Amino acid sequence: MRVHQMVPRLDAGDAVSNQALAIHRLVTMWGFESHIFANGMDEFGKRHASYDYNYREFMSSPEDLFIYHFSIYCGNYEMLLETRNRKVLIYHNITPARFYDNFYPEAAHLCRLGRDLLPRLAGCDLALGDSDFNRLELVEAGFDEDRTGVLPINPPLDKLDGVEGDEDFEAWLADGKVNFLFVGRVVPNKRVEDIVKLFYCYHRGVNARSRLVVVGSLLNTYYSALLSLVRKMGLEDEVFFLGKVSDSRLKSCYRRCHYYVSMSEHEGFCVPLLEAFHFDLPVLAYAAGAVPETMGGAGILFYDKDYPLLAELVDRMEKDRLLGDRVLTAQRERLTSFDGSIFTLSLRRHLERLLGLGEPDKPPVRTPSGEDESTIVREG
Amino acid sequence: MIQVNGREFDEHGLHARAEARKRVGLYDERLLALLDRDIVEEVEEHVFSMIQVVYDLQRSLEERGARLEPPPDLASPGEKPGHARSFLRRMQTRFIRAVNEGYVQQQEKYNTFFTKAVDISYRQLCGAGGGVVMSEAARKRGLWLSRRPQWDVEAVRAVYGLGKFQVVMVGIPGTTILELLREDGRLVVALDNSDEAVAEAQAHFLPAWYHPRPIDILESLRTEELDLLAITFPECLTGSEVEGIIGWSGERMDGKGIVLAGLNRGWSEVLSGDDGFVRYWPRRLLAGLMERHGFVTEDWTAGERRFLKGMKGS
Repeated sequence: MRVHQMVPRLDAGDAVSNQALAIHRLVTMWGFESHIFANGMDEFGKRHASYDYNYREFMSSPEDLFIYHFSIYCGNYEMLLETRNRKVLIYHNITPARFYDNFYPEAAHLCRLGRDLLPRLAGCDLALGDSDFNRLELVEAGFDEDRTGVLPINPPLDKLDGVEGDEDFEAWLADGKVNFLFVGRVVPNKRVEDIVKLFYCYHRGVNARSRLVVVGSLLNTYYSALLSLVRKMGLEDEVFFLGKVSDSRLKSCYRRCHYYVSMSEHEGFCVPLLEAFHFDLPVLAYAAGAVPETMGGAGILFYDKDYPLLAELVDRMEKDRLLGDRVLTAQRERLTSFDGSIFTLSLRRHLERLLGLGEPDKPPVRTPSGEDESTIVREG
Repeated sequence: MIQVNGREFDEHGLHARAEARKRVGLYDERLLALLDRDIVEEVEEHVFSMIQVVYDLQRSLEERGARLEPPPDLASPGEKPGHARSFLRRMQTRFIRAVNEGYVQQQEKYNTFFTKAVDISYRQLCGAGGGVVMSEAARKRGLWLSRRPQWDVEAVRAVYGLGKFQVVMVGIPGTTILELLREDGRLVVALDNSDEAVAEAQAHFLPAWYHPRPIDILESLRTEELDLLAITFPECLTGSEVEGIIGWSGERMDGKGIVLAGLNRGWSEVLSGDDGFVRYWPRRLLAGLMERHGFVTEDWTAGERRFLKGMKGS
């Protein structure tokens, strides 16, 4: 038996790619032959994946397992419909098209196609969401609820631990200003303009010794609109759109910024929230999509975008160390829910019937070498 | 509703402080309007869309007979790879190809790189001398701007005694003068392009705003009874800003009023800034600007400070 995964793209640092690689590592450890196929890939991806058309040679085997990662419309979905493998769909959510309509019509079109396609993929043996929010969207789209589940994401939070920070950059960030941080693609559903508005209130009314750092790839028209808004607010020397940055700079951002802010109005999971938790950065996030589920009762969650009020909240955090400590303690505790062993157990539980694995009779235990015992046994 | 660690947070104190800031003038109508602004309006107002600009450029060049077919690489033969000139040429080649072959929408990394390049160039042209590049120039500028000498008690008292109605300060020479004017209800706002000076005033709930170009927000101020405008550190402003501010006050003080411009050269060692950041505008220039806008000028000393005073309708 072989396990095949298909992703739209396999790129370094991408959340869907990271999950596909984590699954690949586990099923390989369980003794299965594993392949990843992608419609596109960067240099990193080329080391791990083949192009999707290569999957065709495996489609006729009813013994094999095919895991299809669905995060955007991609023509390779036809192979999911045609394959004779047993089928698992992992749904990472698709951004509603309305967010892109005014900025990137091509992306809006792809999002619409993807959402329209979802009900046609309901014939899978198993459909998993990486959050319950995503799972419920599957049920709403017509998937049999009994054959759905949640596979919590397994973010590689320690990927930056061995990376050296950028000293000059850190010195710049450590100049006494209060630094706000956002990490993620600068796209309309992330509502970066709302982060700018919160920052505007804080900078204008509470503390002018502050800056906003935005890390993530930039979408032209939307980015231009943001620059225009920032300039109208007179913040062009205080708001920094860094684009994609090296791991070294990303680590410096997490280490030297003081607050992580998310105003996103659509998230299927939101890995940067957990990265901020990992780096002990208090998180302030708007409660939309899967964000409350990901935060899991830790950090600061708000249901209204009352910018002056939120600016006061940041001021309160600055002055009330006890409040900050309470937030950080809860965030650290929340991180334990995303331990790699939990992902392993969850994946195994979901796939045990399809892969013919024996059910693990106890929670996974770490061996002294760091290997998860429950993953060593190979059956079926 | 705000939840901290899953529990509802008592917002009363936060609301009270936010309201207090609105009352003292830290949040004005323009700010509140910008908070309500939909980002789509920025696009509709035609923010430059890079794609559009690129295609417009290409079309206009082609209409004038220019051919944009690029050679494979614009680098000159024998040039060592990695040299800046070679790099810039390669970027130029890539750009022309992007125009011709429609890459721009498709290549995310290229987009990021290109938009960043545009942004940095834009900041270097229009920003405060450094932008996202943490250059030595930006650091020096920040350092200089943070050294605003405070006015002594005599200077504060003397300036406070000028005028009877509304006051706008451009440049913050300490919080004492702002507090006195605020207590009298005369201070409209204090503007500054130093965030340190503004942060100190904000901590006292004083109506002080940061803006890299204070002139840009003067138009939105409500100043029906303005009779004093103090430009405390004109050397922190560009020539056009100084002229704009004096011109603005000339219009607003139609009947009677005073403009003060600090004459700071030689006053303090601290003010010996680097070239390009500190511009000691000559007294004659400042006088000319004031007179052009209907002010009669004279030298004026208050405490340890020297000013050029422009008066209207005295």
